[in-house]
Amino acid sequence: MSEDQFDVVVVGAGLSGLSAARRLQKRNPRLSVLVLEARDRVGGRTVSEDLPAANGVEQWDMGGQWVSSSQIHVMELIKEFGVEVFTQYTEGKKVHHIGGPNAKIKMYNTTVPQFSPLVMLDFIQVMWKVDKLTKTISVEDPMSSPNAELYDSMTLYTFMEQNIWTKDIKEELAVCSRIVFGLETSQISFLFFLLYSAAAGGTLRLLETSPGSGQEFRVKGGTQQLSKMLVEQIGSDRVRLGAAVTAICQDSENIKVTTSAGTVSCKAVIVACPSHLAAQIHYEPPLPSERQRLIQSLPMGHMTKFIITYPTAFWREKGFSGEIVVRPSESCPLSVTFDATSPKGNPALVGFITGIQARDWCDKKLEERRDAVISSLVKYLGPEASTYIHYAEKDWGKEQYSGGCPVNVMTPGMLTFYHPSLRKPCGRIHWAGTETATIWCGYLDGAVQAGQRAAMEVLAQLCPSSLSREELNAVRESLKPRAPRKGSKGRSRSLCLLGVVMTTAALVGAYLLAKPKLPVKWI
Amino acid sequence: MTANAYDVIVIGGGISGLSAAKLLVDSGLNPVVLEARSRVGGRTYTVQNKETKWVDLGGAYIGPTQNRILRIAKQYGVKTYKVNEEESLVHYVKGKSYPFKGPFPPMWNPFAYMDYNNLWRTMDKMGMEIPKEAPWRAPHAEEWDKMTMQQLFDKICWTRSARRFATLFVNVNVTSEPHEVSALWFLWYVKQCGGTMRIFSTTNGGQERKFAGGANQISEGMARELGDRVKLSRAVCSIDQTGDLVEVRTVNEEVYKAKYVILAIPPGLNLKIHFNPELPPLRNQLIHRVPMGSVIKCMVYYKENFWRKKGYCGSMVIEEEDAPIGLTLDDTKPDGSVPAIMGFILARKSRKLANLTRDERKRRICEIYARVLGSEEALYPVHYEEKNWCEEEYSGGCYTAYFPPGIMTQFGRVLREPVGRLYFAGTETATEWSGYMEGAVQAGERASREVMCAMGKLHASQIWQSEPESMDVPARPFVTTFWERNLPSVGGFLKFMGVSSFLAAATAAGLVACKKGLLPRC
Repeated sequence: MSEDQFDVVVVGAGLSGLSAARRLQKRNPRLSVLVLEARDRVGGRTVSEDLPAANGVEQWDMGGQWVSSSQIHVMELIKEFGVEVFTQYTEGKKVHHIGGPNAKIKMYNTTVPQFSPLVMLDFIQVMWKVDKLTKTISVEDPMSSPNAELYDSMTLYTFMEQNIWTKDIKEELAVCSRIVFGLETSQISFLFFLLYSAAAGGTLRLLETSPGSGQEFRVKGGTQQLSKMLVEQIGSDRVRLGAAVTAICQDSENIKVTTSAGTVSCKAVIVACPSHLAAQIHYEPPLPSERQRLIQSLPMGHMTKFIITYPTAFWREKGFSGEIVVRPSESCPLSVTFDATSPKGNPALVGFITGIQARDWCDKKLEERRDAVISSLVKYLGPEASTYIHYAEKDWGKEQYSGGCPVNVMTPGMLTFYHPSLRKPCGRIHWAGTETATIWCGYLDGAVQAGQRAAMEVLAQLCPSSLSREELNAVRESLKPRAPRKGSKGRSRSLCLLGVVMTTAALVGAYLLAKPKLPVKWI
Repeated sequence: MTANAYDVIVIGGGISGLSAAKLLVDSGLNPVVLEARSRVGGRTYTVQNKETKWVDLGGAYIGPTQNRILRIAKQYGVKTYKVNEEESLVHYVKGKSYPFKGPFPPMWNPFAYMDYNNLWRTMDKMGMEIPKEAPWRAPHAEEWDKMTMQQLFDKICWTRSARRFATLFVNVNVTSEPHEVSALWFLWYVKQCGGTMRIFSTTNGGQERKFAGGANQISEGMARELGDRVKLSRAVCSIDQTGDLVEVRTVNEEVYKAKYVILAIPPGLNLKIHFNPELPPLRNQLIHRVPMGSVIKCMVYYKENFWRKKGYCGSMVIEEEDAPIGLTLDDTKPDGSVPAIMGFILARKSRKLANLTRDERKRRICEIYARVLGSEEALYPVHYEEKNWCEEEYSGGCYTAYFPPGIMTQFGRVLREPVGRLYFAGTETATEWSGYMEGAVQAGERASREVMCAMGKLHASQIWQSEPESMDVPARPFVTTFWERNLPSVGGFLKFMGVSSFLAAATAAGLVACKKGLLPRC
């Protein structure tokens, strides 16, 4: 076994880990940094694959693929590397089929499906409620938000049952939950849902393709290239693939990191894999109990992403946008599809099998899944959908070093006690990963932000002279423990109100007693 | 590198792993047990010292219908004794202590009584619909799995006192909060232990007895019998199934090989192991969805058994948010020596109080005992022991893993499903007294038989075996009274009253109208 010495070791060569490593090197070139990756590739939940298409072979993203103008950290990276983005194609009719296999298939051109007036009213009122609540959430400290404990004791399903009147909207939001999180609504803390929306700048941004929304742009050449370009900047000798970290031992001076390919020593560690995978590592000393419990309570969504290449973009010719939103059924595995035509013009559709459908379909053979997907597309887009060139898919639930896709969520009750542990360093182990971000957490942008934040923490610890005073203060402020919450806020408010009422009553009584005669004769 | 070859590798030296290995040895096979800690026993843990003689810091209680663990205890000559319940239990609510007898505190308010009664009856009735071995196949499985127990309580409880006690019921039984657990999972959990009364009772219930000398004697007995087949301080970090034999690698870089592997650890701890090939998607997803409960177990020792003198048996049900302890039991030794009270700091309270100092926790505990028992003697303990199981890296918590809403129906069916040559034990995979020592034995022995079946030594029909009832600890049925079975719920009662009032008013109006001559031909 070899033993090397480094200043900082980063666990995970996804966008978050690589962003951290690069920031460390940029700010202090004398720091020796090593990135350890368990897989045989970089990119984490972004991976681009060559697929046969109409005009030869081209690359498509089998993982994270969308970026947005409001995602400033990843857009900064994209600009720096000279990568181009292009708008997600959305022109034409959208297909909407919710309410079961026998429900009517609807088509619409508007942003929101066309509902009946009562259903639309229900949709508007619930979105208004959610937006109102989202605005009250602090992304840094969600437990400081009003009614945080109450919302954390609810699931998204509970909120829906209590606040939505119509069955149509309930089913609509259940489909949205599968699309955004890869999970059923019953599995997500309602407070976490609000936090996630707040980090994105509003709920509808999670779903839409409009400017500033989550599905606004695609990346020419694929998203994995960002990670590859970061590796070039860091130095490929500083990134070790096939090195799964099995143990981290901290003593007063050094940290020993054991991997399947050897052991290294360092002064600080940044763990930048999905948050629940921190549990894959044995720690000495053990992590604090809050941190241990946190990583037990972060389910990852379950998604299978498929891409189908076509000889022609027949759906565009027929006036469709390629967007299909479905409530899955026994014969239809997909939840949503979009146009995935490449920048060179190779036609393709992208889609997702998520939540309970991923559960039901993941054990079947690939051919079975493919045939079910194709026959569903034929149903919605016409017989031309059966004339495809290639079907490719990736079940992220199978990935040991992702656990699923797209994001870790938190189950009900967990934010109340463990959210502060998400970013809190344990000795000299710092936490990155898109789940720890405060802006667009769960997205590529969050991954970059989280990596950069963790790097600043390490720099503040190892070589504070690399940072400006403002930056040092910002790091210290973010690591400062939150003051204990005052539970007496409501109580003191009601006491004040009671005091006012009693004072008023006393004054009125005194006035009446002081009056020698009443101006009006009482009956 | 040392290459160690065995028939079966068992990962986890708790009761489940050791009972699996024991059955394999009894069947002529050569297993090895790899345990991450420096001791056997898993979530059972007995410490011996001068002040306490022995103290169970982890799993300790057994009772009727827990026949497998009783069988093994008998084999090693470990005797049981009854937890004291001679005197009155006490229910502490709204700052007052109320003595009572029986598993549940009685209610004097008729509405609260109806509500309580309906709560237990409804939970047991719903539990009857849930099959023990496959709760996801219950008729209402999807619906109940979407709900948390909080939602279920909001739906069926009308009074605050019933809701508050219902919360404590979840806290006590699964050391988590009602809003954290799936209703389907919790109802299944209670059902597979034998129902609400069996799981909550001391006498004739899950907490009836303790082992004289401590629960760890069972594990230590099995470990002694297994000899050098038990390896301690061997944390497993990877399992490789790509060769002819399964290769298991430990953190200290030892390699063990065997035809089959049994994982007898909580499902969440599978995450600590790197698998090659990868686990199937559903199992990969399951293992990061099942958190452990949170509990701090606390024992306060006194010079004398003052509570018995006051007519209390030592069992307290404490419903006060500021009180650290939710439930206590007498922990005095069977011969009357070493007077002690065992208390649980449960769920949310264990998380809040984990950051206090040990002495601060002790002080708060003694204060609440003094108030509940009405005795200043409770303020002057002679010794104190505690254990916070959330700090254990290789448990993650205690008593057992729970299922948040939505998980049981989506992932539960792969809980016991073998993956290649990997088989799964651990009390969480049991179908009887899952979460208890009994469940650990059931799961361990079932996994062993699955391996022997795969080896061709056993027929598949022999994998699941029922256990004869223990002669020493017989189970008596719980008798419900006519009223307990037939008293209406608050909702039903109000509905009945409403309909009756309407009919009475209509009748009265009719009579008045008749007398006033407003109706023709009256």
